[in-house]
Amino acid sequence: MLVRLVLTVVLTSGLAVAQRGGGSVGGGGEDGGMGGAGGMGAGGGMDGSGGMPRAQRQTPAELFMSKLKLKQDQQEEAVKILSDAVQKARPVAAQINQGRQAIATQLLQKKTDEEMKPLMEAFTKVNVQMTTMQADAFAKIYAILKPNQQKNAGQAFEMMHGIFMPQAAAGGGRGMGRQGGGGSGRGGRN
Amino acid sequence: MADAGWVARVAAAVAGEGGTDMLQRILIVGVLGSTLLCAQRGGGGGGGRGGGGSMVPPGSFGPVNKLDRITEMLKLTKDQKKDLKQIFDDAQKEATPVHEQIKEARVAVGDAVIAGKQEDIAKAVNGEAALETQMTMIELKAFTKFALGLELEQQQRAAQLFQMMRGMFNGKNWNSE
Repeated sequence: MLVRLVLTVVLTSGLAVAQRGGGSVGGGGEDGGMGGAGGMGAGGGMDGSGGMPRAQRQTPAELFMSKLKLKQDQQEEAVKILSDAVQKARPVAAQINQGRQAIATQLLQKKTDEEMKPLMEAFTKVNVQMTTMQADAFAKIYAILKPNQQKNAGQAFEMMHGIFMPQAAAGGGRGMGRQGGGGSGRGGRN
Repeated sequence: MADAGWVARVAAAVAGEGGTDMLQRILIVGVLGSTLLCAQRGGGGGGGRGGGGSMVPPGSFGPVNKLDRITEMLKLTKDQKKDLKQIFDDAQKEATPVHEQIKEARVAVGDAVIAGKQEDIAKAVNGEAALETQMTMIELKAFTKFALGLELEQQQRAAQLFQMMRGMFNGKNWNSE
């Protein structure tokens, strides 16, 4: 429950950042996705469904912690590590999103591969930064694992990307917050 | 840290070349607006409906797959819908093996972190990042190829499609929900 609560707080603060504009780096940007997944609630609402229970999808962070089979106290520690790391990575996430806009712009201008090379190299460097930040956070979480949890822990790293770079599908993004919640939109680089 | 202004400089350079048509302006300016709108709606993953409840009465189903959703979003003609499917199906074929490689590369990063060897971590991270760039190109080439065929009015809504492109081809079938 506490983990859920912390996730809610992280989500709320992320959303607030998104609403402030998300353009802290280089102007513009589409960093809103980080704070997405607005609906923690999967509850009934006003759709007249008579309170039919809806299946809740796990967030990337929940999936990650589930994969590592974290105990309650470890989950709390992991949420703290992830929250800090996601916060620190936000400018890099914004640069990635801005980079995508720049790439699309050059593609629209029908630039050649050679002409796009500097941009692609710069974009890859930003991707390196993002993955490095994910690796750093993963190392911190790995350090709190017990020996029996460390087995196959490497596979859990795959889920880090979804935590740091929630997809902004039609209707928004996802990340530390809950996916879907029974709504219509979804997304997720998995 | 990379230079935070590199994208801004590229965008400024693009604007300075006098080739800024509608789609480019949408990408540079409009995306932010649509993102903010998403955030204000409650943001994500469809959670807005989950929390507050949908006003859509039961039985009135909306589009059931991405093709239909995009068709409705951009008000596509029958031919445009056919083009979209063809372009995205082709991109999916190209993206699927890349996505598999990304998954393997991420596991390699995780394993390298666990092993604790900086050199291996750097190598794995660089490999993963290069694949991410490759996937981005597939996504955005598909987007631009399709978007260039849109009418002006449709292009004004193309920012929403641009937002959807990241991760579009991560599954086996882009058109499945």
